[in-house]
Amino acid sequence: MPASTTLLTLAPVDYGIIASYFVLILGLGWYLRRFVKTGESFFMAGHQMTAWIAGLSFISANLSTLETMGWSAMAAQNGMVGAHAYLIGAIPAILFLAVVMMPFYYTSRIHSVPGYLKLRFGEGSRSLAGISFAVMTVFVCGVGMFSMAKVLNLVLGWSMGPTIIFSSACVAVYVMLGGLLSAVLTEVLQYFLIWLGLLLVPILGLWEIGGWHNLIATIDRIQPGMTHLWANLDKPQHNAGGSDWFSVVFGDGIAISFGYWCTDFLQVQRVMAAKDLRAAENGTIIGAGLKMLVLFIVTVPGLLGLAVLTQHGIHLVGEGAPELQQHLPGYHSYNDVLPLLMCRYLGPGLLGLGVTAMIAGFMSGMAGNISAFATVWTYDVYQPLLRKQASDSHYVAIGRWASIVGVLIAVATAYLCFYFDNILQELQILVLFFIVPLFGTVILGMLWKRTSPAAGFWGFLLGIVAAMGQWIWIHLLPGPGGSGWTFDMGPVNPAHVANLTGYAGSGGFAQNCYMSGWALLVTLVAVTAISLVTPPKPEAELRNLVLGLTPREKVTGPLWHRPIFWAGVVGAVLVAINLYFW
Amino acid sequence: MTTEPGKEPQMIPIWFFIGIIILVYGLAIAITGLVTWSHPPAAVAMTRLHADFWWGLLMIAIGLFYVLRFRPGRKS
Repeated sequence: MPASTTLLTLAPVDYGIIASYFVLILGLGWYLRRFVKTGESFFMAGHQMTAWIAGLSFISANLSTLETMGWSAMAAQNGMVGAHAYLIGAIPAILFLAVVMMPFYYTSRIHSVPGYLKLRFGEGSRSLAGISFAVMTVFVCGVGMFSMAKVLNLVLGWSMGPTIIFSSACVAVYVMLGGLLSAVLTEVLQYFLIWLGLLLVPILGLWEIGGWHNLIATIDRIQPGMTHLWANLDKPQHNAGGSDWFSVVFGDGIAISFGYWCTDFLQVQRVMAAKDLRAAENGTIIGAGLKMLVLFIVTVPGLLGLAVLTQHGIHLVGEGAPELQQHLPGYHSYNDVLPLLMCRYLGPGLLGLGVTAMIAGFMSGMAGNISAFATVWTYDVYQPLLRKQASDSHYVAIGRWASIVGVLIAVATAYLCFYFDNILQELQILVLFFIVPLFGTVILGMLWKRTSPAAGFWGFLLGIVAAMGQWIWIHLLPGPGGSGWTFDMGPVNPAHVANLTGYAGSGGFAQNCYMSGWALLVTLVAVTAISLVTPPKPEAELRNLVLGLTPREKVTGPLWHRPIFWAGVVGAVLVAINLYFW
Repeated sequence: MTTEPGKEPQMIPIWFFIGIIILVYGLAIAITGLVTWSHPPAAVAMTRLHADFWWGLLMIAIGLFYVLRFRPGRKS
């Protein structure tokens, strides 16, 4: 390992590779500006995306560097259980989006998910979703900027301030110029860079350790019970994360996953921009297949970190471990697993490519958030609430300005993270809690024509309140001297955690799973109950929005031309992986 | 990009740009691998495989494929 205080040391060729990336994305934004003149082209990329581009973009929008580093760390710390995020925690929901929900989104010709709420429930639900989503999106973008600056500071020693300013300026320029088209194309580019930049890490790691079976045998020797997906989830006490099968299936597999993949507009916008419904469905299914492949560059490096690095004098410990506070040599956080492996296997040139992949992961994530913000702000906040009638070019101009203002707010949020470090962690959880009730509301609206406009607003609001209420509850601690209560975003109250999960030792992942599961349940019950006592919308206004009132295109031709066939293939692979690694 | 009178400009496929960047990166990595072939960095493991050189060659091949297949003006 290098003797410097940073994890990686770059050579001139590495800097050249990183610089080329910035030249390309800025040049791409400049080139695309001439194709982006109408609202349709700026906000929906002209509905021109093929299934492959839509699918790659769909999955890349989720493949940020925080994701790759975070889930590698999760695998190093908790073993194969971390792989659920790429299996039951994603694939069923993505396939559900493709086969069940996409026809409603696509045939209603909406610009955004809040736009669907407007058609289905009315202006109140749309405004609630639009404003919340716009605020959350720029905040998440700011958190992304801060995370990128922090990671590059830790890994390469780059100053955080200039990193934030430079990266945000690049994102603002190319999203303002090319809108969603810029965001989508840089996401496709990012997918290639991530694979080319990181694939050698698991290949060389497996080569060094003597193959997959030796990797598993080594881990079983170091820390038994880390190489199974389900076997240790019978009780929360039996695994490092304090999770159980119930939280993984109902919290991660249903509430979080379906909320995130089916109603988070950042994701859905990518496939809604496909050239036709078939491309949107197939693109989503392609995304599901690609999502499972990511296991190889995320989970396998995490397991390799546990097996290889520990054999070479590196001790991996939790973020708050005293060894890290004391800067003891040889001790690293689990979060450092991926950079440490890059440092071990990637020489000059390859390291530059790996770092470029990390930067691309952050940049495209920020661009995705900003393009989604510009769309939702323009069509779901500005148009209905501020200026109903204006020309298409006016709304495009508003979208371009929204991109710049969104980036500026995100920069302010990034600087806020310097002072409130917990925001980094908690904000993403809040987003999750907003998206889960949104899913509960949208899915009932799509599948049950009795769901009323009043339920679409009040049920959704109650779901948000329930989600946030649980989060506040677990952060309520006994006051000084045992009197009253204090609220702290950092530590949790084990007794209150036990109220929600049944086990005081549940880790952060298990807490999120349970809170999301309860929030979804509250939303579903509330929307159903309110619908039964309030008047529904007339059926004539529900065409193309609700099951039974939306004509389905008849798919003809051979079986392998049908989206349902490929959804079945991906589903079968999912089952096979789960059985093999049970 | 070519524009004929009365026709909308045709967008160059994204795959062409991806091919260009992969080709450039492949060249840089393969050349670096060649230069450091006999004296690889001591801190890097598995250098006996010369992964940088071979990976660079693979990237050149992928990049060339995309550049040639999706170059502007090629009739599909």
